[in-house]
This record gives sequence, structure tokens and C-alpha cells, in this order.
Amino acid sequence: MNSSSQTEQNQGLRTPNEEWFRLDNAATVFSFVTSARIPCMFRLIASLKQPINIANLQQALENIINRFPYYKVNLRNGLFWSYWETNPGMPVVIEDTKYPCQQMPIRKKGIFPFRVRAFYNRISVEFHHSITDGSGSMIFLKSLVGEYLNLSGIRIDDWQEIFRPSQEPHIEEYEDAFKKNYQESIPWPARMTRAFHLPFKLEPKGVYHITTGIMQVKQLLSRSKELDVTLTEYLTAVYLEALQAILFSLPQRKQKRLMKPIRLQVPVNLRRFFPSKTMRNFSLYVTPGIDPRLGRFTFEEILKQVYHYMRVEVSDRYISQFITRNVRGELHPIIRVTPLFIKRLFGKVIYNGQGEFLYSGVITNIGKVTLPAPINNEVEEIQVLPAPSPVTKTGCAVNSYKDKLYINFGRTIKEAHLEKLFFRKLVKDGLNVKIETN
Amino acid sequence: MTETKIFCSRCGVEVEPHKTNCPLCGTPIQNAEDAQPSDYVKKFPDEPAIKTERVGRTPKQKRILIWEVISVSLLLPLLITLFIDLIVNRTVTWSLYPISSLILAWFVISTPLLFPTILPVLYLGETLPPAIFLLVIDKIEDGQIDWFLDVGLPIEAVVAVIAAIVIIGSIKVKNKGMNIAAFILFGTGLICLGIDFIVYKHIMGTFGVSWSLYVLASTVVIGGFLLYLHYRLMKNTKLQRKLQI
Repeated sequence: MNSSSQTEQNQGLRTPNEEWFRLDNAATVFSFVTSARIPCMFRLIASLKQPINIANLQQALENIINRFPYYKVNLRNGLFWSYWETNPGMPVVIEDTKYPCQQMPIRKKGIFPFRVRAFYNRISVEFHHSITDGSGSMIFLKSLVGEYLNLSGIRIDDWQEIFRPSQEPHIEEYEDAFKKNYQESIPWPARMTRAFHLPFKLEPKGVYHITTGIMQVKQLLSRSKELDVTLTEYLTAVYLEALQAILFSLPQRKQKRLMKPIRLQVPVNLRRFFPSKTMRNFSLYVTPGIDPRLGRFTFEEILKQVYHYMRVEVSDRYISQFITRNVRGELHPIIRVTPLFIKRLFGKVIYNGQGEFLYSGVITNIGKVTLPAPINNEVEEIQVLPAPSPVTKTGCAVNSYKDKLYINFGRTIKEAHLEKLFFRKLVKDGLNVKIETN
Repeated sequence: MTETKIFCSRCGVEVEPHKTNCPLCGTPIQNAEDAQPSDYVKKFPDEPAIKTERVGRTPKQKRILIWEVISVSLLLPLLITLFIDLIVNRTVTWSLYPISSLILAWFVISTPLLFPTILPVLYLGETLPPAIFLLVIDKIEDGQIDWFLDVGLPIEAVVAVIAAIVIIGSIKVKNKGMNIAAFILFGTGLICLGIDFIVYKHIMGTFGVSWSLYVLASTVVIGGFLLYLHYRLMKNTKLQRKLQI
């Protein structure tokens, strides 16, 4: 390892005693674009057997938050960059609402970049994407639920990877893993063109429809095994086919106008490729897709396309290119001395050009969520809701817990065509699907 | 309790027992009334309320706070001038001018902050205090009423009447936008004409007008242009939103 990347590594680390730390690369972008339309909020849900005792949950939150000092922060503006500053306040458990993932006034003084909501037997944790990704937030949810059950009198001996209030935070949990794994010399990835987007009108701001499909993991695993693909690849192909069906069902003229590649954003947890303990953002994405301008694809063709694409692209080499592209901009001397408000203006343009407009949808697989023995008896469901998007209009988060698989679609439009086509395909493939909505 | 499962006949998916239509395709659920388990817990609350973390002041509380702060800030110069006058002259002399001006300012600011929606109160609160102020100023000078009846009251009356016409016209007109600006311009022109007329009469002793014709000419032309723009663009205009006052 050369000396320059050694210093970068040191930059990424902050000691727990410091009162502030820099935003990582993804956080910077999310903090620039956040608005009522793009709240950048995602939600993790734990449904317990018993109704929630709010006082206990508040106590659990107060106990556990000191184990997560990197979340007990407030976004502040510097002259050139925003930064996280230790928040002297205490987060408060609040009521749930019909529509999840509401906007958070993240730049206001005293605002935490996450909120904890409770409804009957559900504990929901909503995180702003600029503070962490699904991986870090899931550990937070597990730790909160663990501490809550501990306070409720459940005896837990084996905590496994759950964080406890008594532990000291590890210094590497603060790490800016993007910067640590930045390679200066490798070239940028190729540019992409704009993708197809659902042509439906947005609901008023703040309205967010959730459609949850619940099924047996076993059924889905055996179905994807029959097809010789992974579960993510199978669901990605179903999603792409549903988008394609919507495109081809449009009137001729509209269809011609909207005929663009159909591409999905599939987030990848980079901790798989680049070992890191970071509790902050460390995920990027790959973009499997089809080009309907070449004609209508059959499901088998889509599956084949996704399968091979994922085999090639999900590799540390290609993903490194994206890290390099993102971080290089941030390290450029001219960009560094540009005042923050100008950066924010350009941040939106860059997000539109390199981000959402290139994808027709999002499908994120959090994977299998496990809890140690006495806790998992009390927790009935764990679910993940994707962040709302005004561009892709639908998004999808998948996770499994115990023997169930949860597919959560969120949409900012009225029409549920995509969800209908998606779940009908699963039913047609022999799966038993239960649908729940908000 | 054994749960009866209900399905959408078109999508083939199981749906929640309290649903009457399929959440995917909207098809009515066939045997919805057979299955109504009472212990089913919904997954989300019904309140769509978009809650913010901080409970801020209501608009009314904000207005009253602003009013309070302004009132206290007006009190400062009032007391300072009063004390200085007392220290220097051992009695209240010139400080009556700044004090009466500050009291007028307080009345004019207070009415819209305290009664923002009651139109008659607003109107009287903005027209009566200036008239009384002019009377007081006239009286302070030498204890006599010299120019108030001749100049002050007529000007105040002209302003009050024209303001009333502009307000009523602005409320009555259907499409609000640049036409309101035009009405205000016309009103300003007419007020100038009135002031000029009254002052001319007072100084020269005869009827006539002088400088106000220049004002009137330009306000009429510009106001007319605004009206033209307003009614020409009215059909598909977004200016109403863009230029909202």
C-alpha cells in the first residue's frame, strides 16, 4: 500500500472523542438532494408479539444511543462542506403515521438523522440515507429491539452481533470506507443513458403507498433453484418483466416516446468485498437491465441477461471504478474550495445525471435477518421499506426473517400496475403470496 | 382463533381480512363478509398526518409574538426621547412629536397583527389613527387647530375613500393577479391628485392642480399596461402563483 492511500485511510478514521466528523461520499450526495419529494428516508420495522410499551422503548433508545455515537449527530453546514456534529439532545419515540418515510428537516438544528416510531406492536426505525445504509441501520434496529426486550424482562444470554449499551464503540465503526478503498489511478466506469420511467402522475408530497408481499422463503428459493439463479436475480427479472409489460401496454405514440432501456438499481453491500466495520454508508449498486428497443424480451431471456450481468459486474474490480468516480470528484481541489451553496446547486444536477434518471426502479435485497434465540421468539416480523423516489416512482426492498420472505414495494403514484404484474407473476410461478398495504 | 384466509380471484394473492377490494387490481373481494376476525391488527395507523418532530408556534402565536416584540421595541425610543426632554427642559415639549409618531406607528402595525382577518377593524385601524395623529400634531404646535380642517382631514378622507374602493374592487374581482397591482397604481395616482388639489386650494386659494398630473399620467399608463397583460394572459397564466403577494 502506498503512502497516499495510507493518509486517506487515516482521514477516514475519527476517534470517538471528536465532536464532529466529515460526511462520506454517499452522504454528501444524499444531503444535497434531500427534499419533500426525495426524502432519502428508508424504514426498518420490527413487529413484536406484544404491544409496545412506549416508556420502555424510550428508555431503551436512551440506553442504546450512546453505543451509536455516530448516529447521535446533527447535520451542520460549514463554509465548504456539511459535517456531522455531536447532538447534545436525546431522540424521542414518536407515533407512527399512515405514510412511512416522511421528509426529515435534516439541516435544522437539533434534528437527528433518524427517528423511532411506534404503532401498536411495531417498532419502526427510519434513517436518513446520508447517515447510514441498510446494513448499519439493521444493527441499530436489532440493538434497540434487544435492549427493549431486555428492559421488558426477557432474559438474554447470547447477544451475538447485537450491540449493547455497555460496549465501547469500535473506532473502525466511524470509518469512511469509501475513502479508505479509493484507488486513485483506475479509470471511470462507462457512462449510461437515461432509462425508462413509469409515466404516471405523482401523488401529493408525503403520500407513500406500501404494498407488502409475504411468502415462504422455501418456496421462493426452490423456484429460483429450479431456474438456476439466485433469489435476487429471479426477483430482479420479475421486476424487469413487469416494467417491460407496462411499457408495451402503453398507447403507440407514448410507447415510442418512452422507449428507453429498462434498468434496475440493485444495491450491493460493499462490506462483502472490502472488509470494513463501518456503521456509515458503504454500499453501491449494479444495474442489470434490458433494452426494449431491441424487441420484447421473454422472461427466460431477461433472466439470462440478469444472471450473466450479475456474474460479471458484481465484482470488487468493477465496483472500485464507481468508488473512484464518486470519491475523485470529492477530492478535487477546485471542488473542495467551492462554497457549499454552489456545491448544493450542482449536487442536484449530478444526482439527476448520474443517479435516479439512469434507472427505472430499485430492488434492494437486505438478505436474511437473524436474531439470537430468546429475542426471535418475541419478534414476529422484520421488514424493510425502500426510500420514496419521484423519478423511478416505485422501489422495492426484500428481506427474509425466520421462514418468511418480505417484498416491500413503495410507490409515490396511485397506480399499482407494477405491483400487480410483479405479484401475479409470482403467483403464476406457484408461490403463495399474501398482500398487505398501508 | 383459526384465521380464514381470503384471496383475490383475479390476482390469486391472499389479502388482509379487513380489505373489501384487492389492493393490487381493485377487484371486490368475494367472501369478504364471511371472514372478519376481530383480533386482526392493522400494520399501519389510519392517520395520514404528516408530522414534524418539532412542534412550532401556530401562526397566531407567531403573530402575537411579533406584535409583542415590536411593541416593546417602539417603547424604547419613546421612553428615551421622553426622558431626555424631561432632563433638558424639566417638562414635556418637543418629545410630543416623536411620541405621537411612535404611537401612530404602533397602531398602524398592531391592527394587521392582531386582527388580520376582520376587514372593518383592519380598515378603521389603518385610517382613523392617521387622522387623529394629524389632529394631535396640529394641536401640539400652538394649542390651536390651524390646518387640520383645511388640509389634514380632507387628505385623510381622500386616502380613506380611495383605499376603500381599491380594497373592495380587489376583493370583488374574479381573477386576482396583476390587475390588483394596477388598481393600487390607479389608486395612488388618484390620491396624489386629491392631495395636490387640496394643497393647491390651501396655498393659492383657488381650485387647480399642478404636479399630480405627471403622476396620474404615468400611473394610468403603467396600470393600463398591467391590466392589458393580466387579461391577455389570463387564460393559461401561472403568474398568479408566481407573483403571489
